[in-house]
Amino acid sequence: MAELNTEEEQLEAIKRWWKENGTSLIAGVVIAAAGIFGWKAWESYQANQAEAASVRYQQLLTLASQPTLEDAALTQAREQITALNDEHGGSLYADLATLIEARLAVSDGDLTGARDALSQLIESSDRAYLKDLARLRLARLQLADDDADAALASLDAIDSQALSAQRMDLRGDAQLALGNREDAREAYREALATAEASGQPLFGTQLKLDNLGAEEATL
Amino acid sequence: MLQRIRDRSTSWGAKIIIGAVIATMALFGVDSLVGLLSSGGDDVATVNGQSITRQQVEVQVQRAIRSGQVPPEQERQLRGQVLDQLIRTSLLDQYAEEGGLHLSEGQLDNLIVTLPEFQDQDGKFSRELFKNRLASAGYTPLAFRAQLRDDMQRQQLQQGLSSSEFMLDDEKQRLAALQNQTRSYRYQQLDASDLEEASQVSQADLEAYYQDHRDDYQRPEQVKLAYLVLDRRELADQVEVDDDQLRSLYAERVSEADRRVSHIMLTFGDQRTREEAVAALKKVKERLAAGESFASLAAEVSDDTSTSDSGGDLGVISRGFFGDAFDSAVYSLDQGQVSDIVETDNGLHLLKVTEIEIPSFEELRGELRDQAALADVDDLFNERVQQLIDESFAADDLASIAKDVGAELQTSDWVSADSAEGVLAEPGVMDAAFTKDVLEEGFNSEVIELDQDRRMVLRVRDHRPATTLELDEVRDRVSAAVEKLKVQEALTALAEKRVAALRDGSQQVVDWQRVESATRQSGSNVPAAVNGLAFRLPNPEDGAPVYGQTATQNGVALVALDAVQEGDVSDASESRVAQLVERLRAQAAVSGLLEQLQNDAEIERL
Repeated sequence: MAELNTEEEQLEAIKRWWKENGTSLIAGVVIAAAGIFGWKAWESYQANQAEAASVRYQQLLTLASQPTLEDAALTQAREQITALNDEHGGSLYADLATLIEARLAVSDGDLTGARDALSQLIESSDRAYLKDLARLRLARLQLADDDADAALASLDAIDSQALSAQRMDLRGDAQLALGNREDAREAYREALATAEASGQPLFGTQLKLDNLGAEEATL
Repeated sequence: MLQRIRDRSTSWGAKIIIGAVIATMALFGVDSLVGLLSSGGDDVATVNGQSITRQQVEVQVQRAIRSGQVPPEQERQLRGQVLDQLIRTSLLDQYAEEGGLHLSEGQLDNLIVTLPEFQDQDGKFSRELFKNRLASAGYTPLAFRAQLRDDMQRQQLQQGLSSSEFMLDDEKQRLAALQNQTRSYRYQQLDASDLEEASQVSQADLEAYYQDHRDDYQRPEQVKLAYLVLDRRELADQVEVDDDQLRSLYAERVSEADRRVSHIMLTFGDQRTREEAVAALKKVKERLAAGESFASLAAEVSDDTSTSDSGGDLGVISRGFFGDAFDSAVYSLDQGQVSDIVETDNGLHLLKVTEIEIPSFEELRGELRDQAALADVDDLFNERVQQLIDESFAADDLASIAKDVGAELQTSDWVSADSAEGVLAEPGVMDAAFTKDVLEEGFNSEVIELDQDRRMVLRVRDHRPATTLELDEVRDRVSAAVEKLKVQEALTALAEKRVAALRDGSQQVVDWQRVESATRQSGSNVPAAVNGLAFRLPNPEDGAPVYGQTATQNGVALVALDAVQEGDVSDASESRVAQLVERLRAQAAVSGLLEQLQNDAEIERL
């Protein structure tokens, strides 16, 4: 590039450059600014949404932390759960609220309602672990309803390794309900072994296993 | 300088740069620039691509150490734990973040003002307290809020998982009934005296048992050692120390020992001038010299009413209690002597040392001798240590060195790394014996510093690798084990025979011990193994007892389970069981998520 000696020449060069590039530069700046402000607005909309869900959810937790709920509190809790599912469907808040819904139904003696809530979660959520947790709880409700086959089907669908101790424990219960003592025994044994390996204690499994009779000590 | 910046800042280039900085800060905040400058390079781990920095770990480690809960020497271990913890929280944070969990500034504010840590006595939030607590825990308000937000988001997640756990009535009853079950049974203990003939142990039995249990007869790698210990105390024991030396050491101690001091104090200012006080104390000194007792003068004259009744006694004084003037007076006095006038902040004093707290010379003689001797051998010890270092490096034996440095050469029998005793079990000794140079090359070890008074050098005299012992070497042990096993087998067979006889009715009379309605935690009069077995036998059907056998301490127990009684289920026991199970399940739901996240995550430790 030739040297530009005088100030006039420099000024001239800048003007020329501006004529050539000015419009596109301004356009670029405007687009960038619009993009940034748009993104910020979207973020703040998201934040507002999340905030509203958070407040509802926190209220729900406070309600659910009581061992039993008065009717008014129960209605209030249900309202929050519905709102979370309607307005923030698919969020983690909505999924956790549905789990809590099942627990509230159980405390209220409404086992069908609890099953429905868990089934809904299993169908709609895309969080694998929460679905498996729901399947585990659903299986217990199905067992209480004398539907051991359905319980086994729910348990078989569970994929999360981390839940396998509890899964095997319930499998034992289901097999026992079906009269398969040997299968039940095996499931309980596996549950205990898994629980020990993962350091998650299970209460009652040993009792159930002992009650079936330890084969090797019997004469 | 400033002028130059100002001049330059009018140029176009500077304006553009400043404009860009302002725009970035305005749009993205200061963090974006700071983050840009400080990122990279110092990560200790990444969790799903998100990094955990060394600084994060350090901050937590320092916080834990400052809180005083962790001694500094556990710092390294702590660092590992902190990193594990950061990885776990990072996993949960990511899960919460992806799920859209969020806490607003308003929610945080509401929470902070309810935290008891930041409330004054009236239970009101105190800004002052907030700042101080944060500062002492090493947080800035911003950092604290950020951490609190993450904590709360994780808590929302965990509470959702745990508080949605439930317990069905069916389950409660079933578990409580099982837990409270009782069983009625009879048992009989069989031991070797019940066998008609002693069992024969053949060579083939020993051979077979030995082959099956080779792992029980391992001998670890072992060495025979020669070693010498250079001990400063041993050197000191040989040193002669004369009495003069001990006396002067004792005098030194006396001059530093705590003293019991009495005083007569006169204040000045309101009632009298300093000169009057000095004059009055001079008079007191004269009266003391004339034979009057310090105690009675204290009672008469001293302005310190708290001591004047007890002869002016101030109790036992260590250096530093009452300032330098006081100390230098007191520590230059012998027992019974009275000082000149001493001035302190309180006034003017006459001081008398009534007692010097030190044992008598004879009582301290041993200790003083050690002190003197150890000081005397200091140079000698260092010289010998140097000699030891030089010679043991060059020599290919220890005997000559032992003679040169005046230590006794000692030898050990076979020892393994974890069976060493005495001085050989001290830290570093067996490690030194099993280093390559010492074990394989046969060199002397380096000089081991056992503590500040002892040095050791060792060499390996003999070495044998880990091996399985031959049957001949362990015949006694094998034989005892086989015999025990045979008895056990014979008793089990006997138990089976008796059960068969009971079933077909050919034997009725058995010497049973009867236990009615035993609980799982049944009392001490029944062996635990027997009660445990009774609760592991299948439920009897059609009134026929179920028989079982189990090994006990000295033989075999035969158990006949007669009946299983459903447990009494009270509301209390039911709810206790329910609470326990519910809590365990709630914990499992939370820890399960963490485990699953860990299984699925890409965690890289750098």
